[in-house]
Amino acid sequence: MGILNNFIIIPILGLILSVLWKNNREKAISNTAIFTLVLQLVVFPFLLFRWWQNPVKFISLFDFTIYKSYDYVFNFSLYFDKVSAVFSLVGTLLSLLVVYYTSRYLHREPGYKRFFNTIQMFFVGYNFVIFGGNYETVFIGWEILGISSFLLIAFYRERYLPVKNAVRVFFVYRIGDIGFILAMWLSHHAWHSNINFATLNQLDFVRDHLAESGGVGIAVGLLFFLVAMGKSALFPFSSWLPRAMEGPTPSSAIFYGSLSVHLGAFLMLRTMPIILQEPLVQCVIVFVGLFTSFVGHYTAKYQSTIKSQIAYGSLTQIGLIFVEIALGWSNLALFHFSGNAILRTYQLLVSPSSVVYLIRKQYRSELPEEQHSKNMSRWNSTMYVLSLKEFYMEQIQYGLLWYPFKQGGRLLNKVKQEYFIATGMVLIALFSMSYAGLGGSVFSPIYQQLSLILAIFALCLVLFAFGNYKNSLFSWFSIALSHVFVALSVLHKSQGFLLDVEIYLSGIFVAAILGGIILTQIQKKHDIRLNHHWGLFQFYPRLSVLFFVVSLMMTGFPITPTFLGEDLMFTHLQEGEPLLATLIAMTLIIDGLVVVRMYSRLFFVITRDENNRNKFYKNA
Amino acid sequence: MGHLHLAEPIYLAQLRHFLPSQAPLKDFVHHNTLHHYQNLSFKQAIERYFEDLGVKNIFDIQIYLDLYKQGGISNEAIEFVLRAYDFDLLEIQHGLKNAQDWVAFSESELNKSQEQFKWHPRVKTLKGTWKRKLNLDVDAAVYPILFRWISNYMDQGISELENIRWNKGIWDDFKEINQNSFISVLNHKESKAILSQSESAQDAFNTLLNRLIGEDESLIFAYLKEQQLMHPGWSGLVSVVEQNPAHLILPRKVSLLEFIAVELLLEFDFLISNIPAGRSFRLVDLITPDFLQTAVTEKANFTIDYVWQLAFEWTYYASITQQIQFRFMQKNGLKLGCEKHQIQFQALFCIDDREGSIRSHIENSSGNSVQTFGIPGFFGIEFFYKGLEMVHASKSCPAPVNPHVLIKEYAVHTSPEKPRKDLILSRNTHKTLQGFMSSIGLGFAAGIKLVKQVIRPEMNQYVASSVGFMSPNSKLTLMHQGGFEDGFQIGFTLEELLVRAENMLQSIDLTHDFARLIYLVGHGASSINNPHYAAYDCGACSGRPGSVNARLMAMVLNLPEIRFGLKLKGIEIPESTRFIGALHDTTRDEVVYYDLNVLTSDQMYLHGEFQQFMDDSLLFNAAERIKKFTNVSKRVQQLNQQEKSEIEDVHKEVLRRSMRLFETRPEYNHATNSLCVIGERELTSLVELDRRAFLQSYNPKTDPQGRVLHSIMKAAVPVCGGINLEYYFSKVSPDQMGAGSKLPHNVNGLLGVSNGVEGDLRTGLPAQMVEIHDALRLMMIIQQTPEILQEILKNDPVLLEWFQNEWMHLMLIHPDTGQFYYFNNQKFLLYTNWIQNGDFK
Repeated sequence: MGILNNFIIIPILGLILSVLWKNNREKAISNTAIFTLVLQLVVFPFLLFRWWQNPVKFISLFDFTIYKSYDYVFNFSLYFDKVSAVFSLVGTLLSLLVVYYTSRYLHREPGYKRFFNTIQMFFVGYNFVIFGGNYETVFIGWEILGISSFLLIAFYRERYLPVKNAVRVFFVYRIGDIGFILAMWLSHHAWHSNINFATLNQLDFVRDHLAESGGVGIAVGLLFFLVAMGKSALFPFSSWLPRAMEGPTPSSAIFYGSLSVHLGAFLMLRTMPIILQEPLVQCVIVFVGLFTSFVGHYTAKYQSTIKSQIAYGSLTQIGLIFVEIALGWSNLALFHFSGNAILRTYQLLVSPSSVVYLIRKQYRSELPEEQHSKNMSRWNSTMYVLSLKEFYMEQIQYGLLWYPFKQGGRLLNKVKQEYFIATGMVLIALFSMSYAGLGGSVFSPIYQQLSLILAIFALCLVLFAFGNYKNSLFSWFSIALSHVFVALSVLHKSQGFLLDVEIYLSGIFVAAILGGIILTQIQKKHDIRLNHHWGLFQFYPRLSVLFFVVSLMMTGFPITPTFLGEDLMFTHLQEGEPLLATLIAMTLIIDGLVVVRMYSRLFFVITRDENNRNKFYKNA
Repeated sequence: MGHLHLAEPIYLAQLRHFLPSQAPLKDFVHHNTLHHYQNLSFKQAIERYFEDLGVKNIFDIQIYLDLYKQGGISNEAIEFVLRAYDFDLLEIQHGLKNAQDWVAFSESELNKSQEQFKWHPRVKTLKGTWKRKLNLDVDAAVYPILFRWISNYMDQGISELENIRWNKGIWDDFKEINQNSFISVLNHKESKAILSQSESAQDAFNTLLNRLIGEDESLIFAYLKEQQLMHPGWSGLVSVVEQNPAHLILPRKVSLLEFIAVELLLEFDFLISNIPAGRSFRLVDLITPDFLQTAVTEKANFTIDYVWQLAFEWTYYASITQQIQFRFMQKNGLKLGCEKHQIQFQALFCIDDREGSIRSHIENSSGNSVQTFGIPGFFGIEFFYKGLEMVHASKSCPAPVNPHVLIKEYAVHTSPEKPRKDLILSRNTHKTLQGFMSSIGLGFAAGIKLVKQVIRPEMNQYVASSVGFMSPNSKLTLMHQGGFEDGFQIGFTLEELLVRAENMLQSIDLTHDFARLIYLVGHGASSINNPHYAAYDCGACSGRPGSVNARLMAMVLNLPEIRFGLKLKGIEIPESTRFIGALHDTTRDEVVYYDLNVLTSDQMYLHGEFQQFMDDSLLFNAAERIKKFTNVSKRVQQLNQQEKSEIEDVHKEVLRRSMRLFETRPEYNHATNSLCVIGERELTSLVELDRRAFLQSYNPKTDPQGRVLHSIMKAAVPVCGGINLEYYFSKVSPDQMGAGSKLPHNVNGLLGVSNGVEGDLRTGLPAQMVEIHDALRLMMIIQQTPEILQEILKNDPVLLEWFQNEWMHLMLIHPDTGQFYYFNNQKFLLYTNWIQNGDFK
């Protein structure tokens, strides 16, 4: 006991300390980060020693019950094994290197403090993930990583492309999170209890339970794989990876060259006991992994920018790492991960030098002679065109993910708002009657489906917010309302457990009010329609930070009880209701997406386009 | 097709006018960012550029007011500017002469101008139509493919495309790859038809314009301008390479027209595949007929800002001219400077502003036994150079010059060191199987290497090293032996050399009183992780180190035949005099000497003495530079810079930072440059120039007709002016004219840098380079009479343009009277010093 939680506590303390420094205290800020990482490295051998002394007893030492009700336990749990050991060592060393590097590299860059805060936040999330003892704990880290990724890509928040790409990447991550939530929900039911990774590693236990519960193993395996695909940029998500290289070079190196992008593989290593029981899942992973490697190989070959080339090069290996995991070669996968992560960090950090050594090389190489140079073969031409079009991945992602939401949102925005309000009222009335036990005979067919209807309405509210470009306050409150309807839906299903709903809505309530106040304040002076980037961070530096925190609360980020509440909501959903669970998961996830997009529209990008030009082009 | 008569070349010529003209990275040479506007006066150009492109290239009044409050702009300067310059546009406030009134007036105008010039209205209005009316974001769909295509096409060695025979041109190769591939880049059959059926790019260009925009010529031009200016980086590069294909080693046939044709095709393809049936996407159908007319044609007026800019500049000029005038008087009275009998050595340095301080230090540390000269760093000898193992030649002279000679380096005793192949950075690490082997096998080695490089930086192949440009042990093919290579003559003929040697010596009046050892010191820089490395080397050598030129000219002047020829022309170099070529690394403060093995033992002894002086002054120079550096440890900053042992620590720090991967400011290059002095060294030797001045040696007494001066100015004005103006614009508009912060830069095809992976190429200088620069235009101070200058300028309209249009200021110091004159309105006006109490030292 004791030593393992240091690995969570140290980074958190570091993060808190680093937020407290003033903007101009460059040395203090970077030293805080360096000190945090060094401390982590110093404690590491002790941990290893204890583990080596008594591996079995040590495995899962830290289980802390955060919440407990009649049959539900939310455990905060930590766990240590060779996977954590490798990821921790490589991650801490690379982070230390990059932090030391950036402490000078970023000198005098506006946003120095913001950068180090984000890196430390990333490190907190990273440690939650790799030391997490159960999926719930890993998920906490997962959420932190998503947000810190968003912040790092959008580091140059005044420019359009970084912000656009940051939202893009966040979108892919969020979609993966749907899978995460559903997979957690399914596995609760599969194991009939909240299990940690130590239990999961017991072969017999897994085998017995999976045999009992039919296809759940496959579903859980595939869902976790979906999460990993998003995080590790496997096909068809790969095209976000090069686009994420918008921040300062070292941050790209550590995030998208090495650590963050390998966490999908980490999740697969954690899920390995399940995967190895399900040949179908194994096959899917091997296939997608190999295909990603193939795509990476050819795309990297035809990349003419150094960073995208390294990104795709890294991806080629990540595809292979997934194959290794699916085949059960975890030691090889770990070794491969470490090598790849370090190699890509190195390549990215010296990438600006490529001009020098490649031009030097070019001066020394003969030109290909006319008869030796070749026309491209049909195969190579095709591969070239495919790489030019990035294997249609942008279109696939757009068509599958973005377009349906966007269309749905657009449609819903055509509906008159009165109808919305009326429907909402009717639904609430129905719910109240059913809750009070009234009209049971007349409405019983509706009551049976009421949960589903409420959930659909919640989803509609979110999509409405997604498609609403006119009024940010409307969007904001529809998101809050969607949470309410999710709660009603679950409440209707489970009849009772008001306390759980209160836990769930407490954070949302505070966030909705605070956010509403902030938005109204800003609206007095600024146009805040959402069809446009407003770059408000330059006018309201403090409010922009505050609103960011409020947004996090709204998305159920693990800083309010809402995070716990979301998990509770799912416990109340029975195994036989995958549709309801999916609807609710989608609502929660798109909520986060809408909030982050809204935040970036309001506070990021100093824009110079149409709306501001209207006065120059009267008829435009 | 109604608009086929449109004269395409004029069309494009107009377009090029707006595009940046920056060469690929390896040929990075500073130039006036607004050189297309150089026929206008500076102020007009800035206003016109704002009207054309919406970028304001002068500080806002607020910034000047802040500077004023901090004392960066003096009252006297404001009053001088209001008195001396004509501002007819300032009618509203006619008769404003007093500085306090001026400040009050500016403050009252402040809000007005901020409202007016806040946004950049000139771009993305036509294209925005599709987004507004059809909700189709053309750029988001087209740019990724377009940029990837053009970057692939011109790529010089990042991707694996160099062996592909791409020689038909952007359009035809695009066509071919589409035909070759099983999958087309295009989606719609109509766009495929245009691609395959058009006879030429020109043909397709016209068809596409018609289908996309319509037949309205003014609309077409407005559209093309907008389209190309949305990605000025790539368009500019295509345009530059089209006009000078030699910028690319790997030859590619590019043309702006074909590039635009491909872009139009991709746009057309996207629109036609996504348009709802029955709707038109032609711009003429979507916009109101008077769309272009409704654009506000309000004239930009930056008079107030410009008055402030002038006052800002004159605040500095006034103090520096005062010091120079003081030295002139002192010199005439007290006879300062090098006494002829003291001189043991002479050293020729580049005109470069970074060499000013090392010259002072070596004069001081040697007690004036070293006499120094300033001269453009190619030492009057122009050629292409091919180093050991090099297959391709690089230019080693000012960029506009086109040499006919090739100089080759060859090894004598040892076989040249082969560069080791770097497995870690090889492209093969990105492949499936080789990548697997490398990440497993090399990953950890890379980690160890990285840690070493971060903690204890060492020289390695990632450093752009000035010393590594030419090996001190090799030989150069100086004399022409009848050989030719790549269309160049190998080596110079004797006659050619004689002319160059004579001109060189005469330009700086080094025609008598030769010292026993005369050093020609070229300069270069060393940096790592720096795509703009070429900008740090010698600008007079096309962004290469000046070592070859220095060494070559020294060899020439040591030739007995040349000495004999010079003697016939009246320049008698004593037999005991020896010329030595050298290279000063401005980042590392190191000097390398070439061909020392031919010295006699006497000379060697003397050389040892010089080397001692030089080593000392390098230390002092490092100590002077480190004051301005950031990221220097407290310990080094607090070292006592008088103690030699401690200065050595300072120097070590300077060495280390040149090799640090994370050092974004290994040196400040030309930052703070603002002055150019053409005249005798005595004018400036004791003035605190603070590395801000280009220094050219010139003796007005021996040049009564001004012929030498004219040839000096022909080289110095564009080089110094180009450097100065590029810094000016990158400083004033760091995001539009400059390249922004260098931290997120990504190298594209070895051609340029972009932000991240998707963006356009960034032109101009990174923010870190111009950080400490003061946005002042250059003041050229020439020691000559107004009459001679009038004569020179009358006969050289190109030079005149620089001064008359105020791209550079000009002042004269009269060689006899020491009076200053400033050039204003085509006239030289007597300048009387208006600094009240001169408190100079």
